[in-house]
Amino acid sequence: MLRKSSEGGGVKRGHASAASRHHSDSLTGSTKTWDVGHRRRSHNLLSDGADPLVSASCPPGVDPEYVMMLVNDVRWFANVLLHLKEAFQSPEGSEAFQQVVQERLAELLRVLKAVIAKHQALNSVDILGKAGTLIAKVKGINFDDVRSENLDGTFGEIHASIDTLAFTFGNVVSDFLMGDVDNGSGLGTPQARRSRSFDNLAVDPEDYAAEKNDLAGPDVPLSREEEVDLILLKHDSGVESALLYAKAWSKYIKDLLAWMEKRVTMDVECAKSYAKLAESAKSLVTQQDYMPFSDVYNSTFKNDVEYNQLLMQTAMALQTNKFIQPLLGRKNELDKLRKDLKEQWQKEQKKMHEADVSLRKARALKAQRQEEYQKAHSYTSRSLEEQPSAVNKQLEKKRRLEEEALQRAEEAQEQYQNSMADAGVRRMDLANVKRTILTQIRETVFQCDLTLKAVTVNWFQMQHAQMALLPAHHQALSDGAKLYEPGECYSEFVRRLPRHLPRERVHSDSVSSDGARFVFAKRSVGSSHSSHGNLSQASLTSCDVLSGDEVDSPLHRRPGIAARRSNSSTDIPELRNQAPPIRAWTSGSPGSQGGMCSDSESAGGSSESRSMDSPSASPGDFKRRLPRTPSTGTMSSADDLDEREPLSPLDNGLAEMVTETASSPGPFRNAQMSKAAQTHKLRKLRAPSKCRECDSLVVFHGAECEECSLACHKKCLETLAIQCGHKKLQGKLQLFGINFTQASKNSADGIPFIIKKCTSEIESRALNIKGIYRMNGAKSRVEKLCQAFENGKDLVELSELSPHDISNVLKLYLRQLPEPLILYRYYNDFIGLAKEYQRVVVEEAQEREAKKPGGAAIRLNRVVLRIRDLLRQLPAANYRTLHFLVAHLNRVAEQAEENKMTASNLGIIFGPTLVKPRQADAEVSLSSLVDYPYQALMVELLVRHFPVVFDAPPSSESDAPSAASQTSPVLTPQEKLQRLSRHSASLTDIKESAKVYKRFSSVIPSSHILDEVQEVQPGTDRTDSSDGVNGVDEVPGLQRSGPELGHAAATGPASASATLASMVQLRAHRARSSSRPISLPAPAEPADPPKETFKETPGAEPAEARAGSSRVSAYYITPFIDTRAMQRRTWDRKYRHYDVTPRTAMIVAKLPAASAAAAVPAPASTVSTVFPNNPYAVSVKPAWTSERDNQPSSSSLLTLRPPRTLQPPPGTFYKPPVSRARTLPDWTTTITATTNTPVSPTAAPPSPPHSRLQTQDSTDSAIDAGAASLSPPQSPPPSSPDDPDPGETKAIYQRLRPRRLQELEHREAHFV
Amino acid sequence: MREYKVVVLGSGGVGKSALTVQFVTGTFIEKYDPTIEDFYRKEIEVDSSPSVLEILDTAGTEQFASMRDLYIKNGQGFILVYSLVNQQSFQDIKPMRDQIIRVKRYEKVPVILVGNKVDLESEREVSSSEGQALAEEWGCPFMETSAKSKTMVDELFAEIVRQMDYAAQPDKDDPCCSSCNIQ
Repeated sequence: MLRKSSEGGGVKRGHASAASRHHSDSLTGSTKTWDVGHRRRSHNLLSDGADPLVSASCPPGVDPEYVMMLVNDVRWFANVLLHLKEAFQSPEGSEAFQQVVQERLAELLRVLKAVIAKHQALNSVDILGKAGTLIAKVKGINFDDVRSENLDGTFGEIHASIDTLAFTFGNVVSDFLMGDVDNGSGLGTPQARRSRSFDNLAVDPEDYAAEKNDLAGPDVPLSREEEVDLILLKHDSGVESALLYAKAWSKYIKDLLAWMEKRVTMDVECAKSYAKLAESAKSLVTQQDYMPFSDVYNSTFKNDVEYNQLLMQTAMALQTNKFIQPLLGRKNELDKLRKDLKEQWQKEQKKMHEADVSLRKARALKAQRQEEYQKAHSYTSRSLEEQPSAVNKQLEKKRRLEEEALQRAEEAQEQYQNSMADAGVRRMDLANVKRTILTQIRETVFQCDLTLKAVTVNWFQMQHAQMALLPAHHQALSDGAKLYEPGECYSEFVRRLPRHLPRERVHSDSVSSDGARFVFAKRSVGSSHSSHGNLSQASLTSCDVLSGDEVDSPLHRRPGIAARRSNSSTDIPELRNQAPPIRAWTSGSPGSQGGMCSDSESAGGSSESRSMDSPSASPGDFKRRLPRTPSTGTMSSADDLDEREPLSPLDNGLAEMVTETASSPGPFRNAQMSKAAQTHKLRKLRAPSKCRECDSLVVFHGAECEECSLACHKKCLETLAIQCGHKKLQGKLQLFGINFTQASKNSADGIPFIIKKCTSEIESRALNIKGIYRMNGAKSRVEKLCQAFENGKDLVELSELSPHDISNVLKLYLRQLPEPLILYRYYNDFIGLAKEYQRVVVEEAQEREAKKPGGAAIRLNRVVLRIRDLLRQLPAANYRTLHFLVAHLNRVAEQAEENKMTASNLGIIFGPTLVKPRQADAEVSLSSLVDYPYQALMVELLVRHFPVVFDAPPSSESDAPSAASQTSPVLTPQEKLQRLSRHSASLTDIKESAKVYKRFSSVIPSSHILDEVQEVQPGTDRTDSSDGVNGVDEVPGLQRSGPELGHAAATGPASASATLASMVQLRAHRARSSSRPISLPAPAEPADPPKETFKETPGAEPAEARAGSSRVSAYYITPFIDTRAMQRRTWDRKYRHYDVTPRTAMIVAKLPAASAAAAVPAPASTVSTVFPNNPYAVSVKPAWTSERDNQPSSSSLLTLRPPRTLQPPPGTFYKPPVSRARTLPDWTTTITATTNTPVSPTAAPPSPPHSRLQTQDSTDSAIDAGAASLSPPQSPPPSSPDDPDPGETKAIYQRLRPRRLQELEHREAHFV
Repeated sequence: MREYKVVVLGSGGVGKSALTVQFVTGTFIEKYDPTIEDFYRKEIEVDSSPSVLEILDTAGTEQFASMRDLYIKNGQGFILVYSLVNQQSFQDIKPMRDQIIRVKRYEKVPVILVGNKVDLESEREVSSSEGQALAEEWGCPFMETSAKSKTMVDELFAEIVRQMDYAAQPDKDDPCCSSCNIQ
């Protein structure tokens, strides 16, 4: 094709004079003769037919003669190029100029063509492309517009393209001579080459003629492909347009396909019902003898059936290989290609852009360097001029400078040239890519079009074949019908009657069950109908009846009969409706019917029913055929009919039925409807009502379902999610945020339908969607879906909704339960178990480290079993629902490869939803923040150990107690073990929660903490209050955090005890780092900035800024450890971390510092030493917290904390600052007091806290008043000089540790 | 050295953690674990002044939405991240900004709008211009980043520092007084 394009170029020069062409032709011929001869010779040497072989065995590069020839040709080409170029140099007189240009262009192209034809290896896309560009450029010249002044502008481009052509040609030739060109490509089409090569001109007159024709015909357009490609190639955004077109094509096809698919299904449905109709009608109609037109109708039925079979076959064919599939395949192919090409193109463009940018940069650099050089130069020369006798050295220097500048300028120049070349190459690449892309697109589009064409032809042919049958057939039938003479059948019938029967018939028509009578009755009906001109009525009716109400008890129907009697004879539908009851009734009490028989219509009705019945023989069979046939809706009740004008009794012929079949909602046939909406039988809404879809009032344009009386806007039909339940839809149901027990009552197994519905939908199609349950759905759609669930219960159609919406609804439902599935009262137990599990895992890790074979696996298992036992205490409905839900999550987790939702991920998502503590108000309470990881862990455990946890064999009742009894003894050793390595186990636990606390406390405004604190505060006895409040667990956490806060607040002067100081030293070294704020005055600690090498976030503890309170900073280190940046809350990571801690704990325990703090060495020392050991000190959790430490001491730090946090806005859930300010000190006191009581010997006297309280109050009030003093955010009130000394707080803290341990033990015992 | 508290917000799975970790450690995390909350600290030099960035990487999953107020209260600058291959995440970001304004009670909170995952150009659902338009509406900078290919990540954090500097400038003497007064 590309070669063709060059010829196409050649064609253009046909504009030039014919004379010149002849001239050049002869010229070519003369030039050619030589190499023709040469070629021939070589051919003859070997076998003549083996053209490729010849070239292959004798590569052109080898043959010096050939090279000579090539060189000649190249020279020739170069001359022509030059010639053309010259033409542009001297434009004289537009007309002459035009002629000259065109001539020369033609010459150039001819030569090019000749050269290429001769040397196939030169037939490269590049050359042809460049030639094409050149042609386009030349053609683009507006010759009338050529003036000498804009010469450069006009021809610049042309010169450029001539140059590129020359360049490319040179490249290709040199490549070829280097042997780089793949000869195979040229050899692949020897035949074609020959036909196009000029050597053959004489030999092959036909070809020549063709060629000539080609050449001569300036009007012969380029083949369409070339033209398209060329145009797009010229166009800047050619690729984009092509892609756009491809996209549009694909969309167009998509729409077409959608239509076709719908149409085909409709066809099939329609055909099916037609066929069914015909079948049943046939079976009924053939019952009767002597009916007029019976053969006509019989053949109609037969034809109908056949026709419908044909229809279905056609539809099938269309669906498979005739229409939809090929088209779909094409479309997908196109889409894929489009995407690939787009990417490729973008990549290419990006590269181009980069090259451009670097070029520009290089240019700028070059300019700059040159300027510099100039400057230097002028400077040198000036100084030379000014002080010719200047110091030599200076001159020398300047000269050197100048030289340097020159050198640099040269470098820049070089670089510029390089990047220019680079850009050129890029541009070339881009052009090539563009060309290939365009070609690909074009080819694909053409292919697609081809397919589309074929498919379209198929479609219409099939339609034609399908339809063609009908007219002839109908014609024949109508002819047949015309021949009938009215009354013929009747007379025939009468003639054949046995003598005695007629009389009997007259007397007791429908009473007796004699078959013959039915026959007659039917006939009469038939005729009466036909007299109505409604021939199809019989079949219609029977069909209708088939699907009509089932036979109820006869009693039921009696009133109906009365009603029927009162009906006018034209009220056929009514009759029809009543027909089955009559039949039933008739059979039930045959004797009581006398009067009715006089009414011919009613007789008809009854016989109809009978006739309908007869094929299936018994009323029992009736139900078998119940599947609703289309007409049910239409005929369901008489008054409906009145309302629907189109369905007035007289015109419900087959046509109407068909439309009914196609889409049930009569008046809303044209409305776009969702899948769910299509299940309804819609009619116009009669009375204003509430739309079930959007929950607003519907007055106009409302639709209503006949069966479930769902009301809805017409436009809401598009999105309606509630399917028809075929019974009256219940009123709106409160679903979200209502009690679980209430919800579970509504379903048999106690699992709310919404959970089942959502999970089953997700399982059916969304298990492998990445981030299912993690990603958010669209809020608006989620809300709508919630509403749909409340409105339509389990009838909601989910198949069209995004899985993320569905998963969101499920999460929302669970989250909005007033009490979570795991009831509040079990919360602490579950969290306790999670913590225990965690601890066991840690221990196991330790044991592994210590090479101690531990029964950790067994213990883990035991925890899991205890979870199982605990779960069983849940109410049955909760248990079942949880079981169901976790089973689902387990299945989700099984697909973690694809959906990335592992059990732990699901735990994080569902943790706070399934396992949540009771909260006083809607706020995030501290405890829940603390427990988030455990909530997540618990859910993770449930999911991970689902088979075990929910394995609830009935025998487990006996198992459970035994397990429990076993555990306690076993656990005691475990606890002993724990005690042995107490510091480690308890430490990790403490640390864990401390960290968690920390991690949140850094975020939580202190006021918040204080809320919690307040709970503790009332009782002075800490232990009591703590146990009373929120369970064993949270309060310890609180207590731990408490001291920390206290420390934070405590900006004690350097009055720390000696022991502490020693510890501090240790830690201070650790904590110090280069990240220490420079602006900090570093008060009172000038001696101690031991600039350690800067770790990523080496504790970056500004806290140390506070003199003497470095112990405090140590505290912050604790949480900091756990919140390393890389710690992405994966438990195993933590375990790894813990591997380290116990050991360090041991080591550190021996340190003098620890021995100094004799009272409680273990926890304190470990806490302190963990930090140094922390391998990944990347992030500093407590940094924010610690900052509050700096602040008070160094008001010079501008960065810090707007005090706004001190006064939370009323809108937030934080307590007013006043209470906070007050509570904190109180609370501190509380703790100090309580801790002091037991530890009185070691602890400092309680008076400092009190004094601190006072001072704090005063500081706080000062803050409140002045707002000017910097105070830390969300932090306890700033330090004041008389804060309790750290030593004291330390003591408190130390006291707390054992207490904590005790509690843990308590809890353990409790669990056992 | 100034300290800057940056909070990274955005709905689930948009790559908040990936961005943050890319910035802090220079690596791209392949993991797909939802974050509850992570905290990072890094020193960088922005416009030749050293700064310490304290970055709070938050939970995007809406289960933790209740914690967002807390994050916002404590942050000074906010990076609002959406995934440009997920139109929904772009929609989710709007209420977050409203929430910031509400909690801060201050219009000119330093905010940057970020479309992440620009490496997935072919799956893009949110066009550059959409993001740009939203950013203009908010009067904040807009960037398209990729944590995976480390596109514009450092620039992003440098920019948020500038934003915070800028926000603090009008009242240099007391950087917090403007907000104090408002509150």
